[in-house]
Amino acid sequence: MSGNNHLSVKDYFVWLGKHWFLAGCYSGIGLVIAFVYALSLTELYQAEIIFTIKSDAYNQGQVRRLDDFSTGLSTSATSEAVTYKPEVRFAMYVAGDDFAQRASAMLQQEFEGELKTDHPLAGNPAKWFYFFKRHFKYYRFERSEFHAVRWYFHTPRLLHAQLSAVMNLLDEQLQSELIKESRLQLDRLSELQRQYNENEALELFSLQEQIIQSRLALLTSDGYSLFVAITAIDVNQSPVLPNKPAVALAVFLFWMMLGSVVLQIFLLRTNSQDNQQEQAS
Amino acid sequence: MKLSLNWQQQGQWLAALLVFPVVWLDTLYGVFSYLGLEALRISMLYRTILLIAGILVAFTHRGPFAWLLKILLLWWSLTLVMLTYPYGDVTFVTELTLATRWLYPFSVLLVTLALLEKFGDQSALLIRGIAYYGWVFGCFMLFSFVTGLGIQSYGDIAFGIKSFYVGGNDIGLTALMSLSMLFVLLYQRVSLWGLIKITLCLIGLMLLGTKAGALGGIALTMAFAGILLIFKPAHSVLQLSAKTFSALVIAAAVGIAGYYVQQNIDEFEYQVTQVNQLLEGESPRERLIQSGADHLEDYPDRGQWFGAGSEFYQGAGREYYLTHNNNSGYSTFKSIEQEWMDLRGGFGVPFAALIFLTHIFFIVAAIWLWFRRPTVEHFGIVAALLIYFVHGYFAGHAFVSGQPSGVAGVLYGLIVYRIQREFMNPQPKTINES
Repeated sequence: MSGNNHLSVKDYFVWLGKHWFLAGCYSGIGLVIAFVYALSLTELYQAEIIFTIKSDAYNQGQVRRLDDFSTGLSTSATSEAVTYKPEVRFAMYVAGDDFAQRASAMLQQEFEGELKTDHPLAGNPAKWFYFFKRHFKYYRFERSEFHAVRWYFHTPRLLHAQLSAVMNLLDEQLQSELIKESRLQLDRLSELQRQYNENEALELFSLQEQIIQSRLALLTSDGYSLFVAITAIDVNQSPVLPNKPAVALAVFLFWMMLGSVVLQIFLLRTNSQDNQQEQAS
Repeated sequence: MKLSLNWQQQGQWLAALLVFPVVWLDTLYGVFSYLGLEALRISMLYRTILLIAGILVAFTHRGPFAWLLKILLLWWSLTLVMLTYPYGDVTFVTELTLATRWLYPFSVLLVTLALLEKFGDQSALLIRGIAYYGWVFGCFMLFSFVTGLGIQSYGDIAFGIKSFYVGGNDIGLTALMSLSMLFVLLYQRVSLWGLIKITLCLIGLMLLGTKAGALGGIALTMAFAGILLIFKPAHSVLQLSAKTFSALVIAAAVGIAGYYVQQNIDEFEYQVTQVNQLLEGESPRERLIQSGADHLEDYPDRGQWFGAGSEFYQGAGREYYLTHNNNSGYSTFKSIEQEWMDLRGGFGVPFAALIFLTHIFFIVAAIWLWFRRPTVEHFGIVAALLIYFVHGYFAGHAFVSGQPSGVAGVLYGLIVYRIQREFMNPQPKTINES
């Protein structure tokens, strides 16, 4: 019918009219595959916590926080801070590889016993690491200075314990950094005290030492946390993933796309054979 | 009144529908958005119809370009299936919209090609239609500049208005491609009206305040002013004076624009800083690209072959908002705005390479055609397509974006049609073939 060797939409409908049973079977098989596949995927549950950070977390250098404030106020045309603000430094650490490495190792050590032996994560640190990278989602909100963390796992039973373990690890990490920093400052002060012996200087040093000692005492006291929880850890009791309708649609789409391309190849072949026969007769 | 159209009129109407309504639909969508009715996505409806038409052409026609679209569709749907394993974190509608954006130019190419093959050469009309975009856009920009109605490009911090157009970069790029065609038309027929249209388009580009708009506009203007002076034959005193007058006006317009910028340099501080950064070799999307690259490392197993779909853009956005203002809450979807990274992260290397190579193929074909048939029209097409590609490579908003991709698709169609007609099939087709 098409002299220029092209098909028309009508050709498809003609074929479908003739072979409706075959077409129906093909799409039916596609639907079944899609739904079986979508239902067979493992489910993921979500836990979330929102928190802020106490300002102690930032008091690393003597005037560090003051610095951040003064340079943070509209210094350049784009009113961006010149140094990274403490919030940003914290964010970079939480979302970075170093913390992911520690946290995934900790999770593997503490929770692998609870998993079945054929679990995909079992006994593989690299898999744990990448699972953590993908499913530990950190959000920093600029204006409220809130931080939010979302964590996903297969078993809702473990979610609460896992997220609080991760948060504790984060707290420990930050505190140990701060304790190290304070000890370093104390060492520096004692060095200064040995070098200078003017009374005024020594007075100043001892004042400084008291400040650092009190901070160190706070940091090393039991049960001290750098975080203020805005919400308690909140666990979703129904799975958030997989997105089953979308998965089924995706599989079905591919199946039908494959079918249409094959059908077109078939129709084009019969079409050109018809043309050859027409020319021959 | 006769309601039925003859064969030739049908072809003309369809070709006109391919290019002329675009600018009005974009404007209308912008006006709706300005009034808070962005749900009325009228331009998206138009593009969806074109996309479906292109897919229909792909499934009914022979030829390499029909196969290209089918292979892209097939590979993408395979990608989507791969993305569902093992966590099933796909959102079907988002994935579909994302993918169709990349397929849109090839869809327009197929529609254009089918149209030209069926109804004969409509290239004059198509080029007029592309040129039409630029000066209508200029009119609206001028309207906004005078009345103050419309959207600002960068908010209060820098100069630039977008009038009623939602995507400033996309519109600017389309206007640049359109400007190239306006110059082609001016060369073909020097007229005052042509000059006015070019001025309108240039004013629009300058008011937009994007770097690409200003730099591209000046570069194109200089190139075509030179071509007009050197190559345009002038047989009479009138023609000679018209030609000299045009070149003078163009030079004066660039001069005035330069003077205006110099006088209001404070307002342009944002652009000046950014241009300086560009000159120092910093990519305009540095932080975004870095975020994307960082996030890609989280997908060691499938990142290369299939990318990560919309999950990639969410993750890159999370990475980006570590250092930037996050005002969007948990939905951190962010495009990298650099085509290679967007494609590679979202769809994997094979899909990205195929899209890139196809665009490069058409641009090489355009350059080849220009060398074989060195006309100003072909130069204009090459210039427009090069701007399209370079913008996409460095700053995104090209292959992925409907406005410039529509224009590029039409130009690709024209190139393929001309090469087929003049070099592959020596007998020109008659209009009434069937």
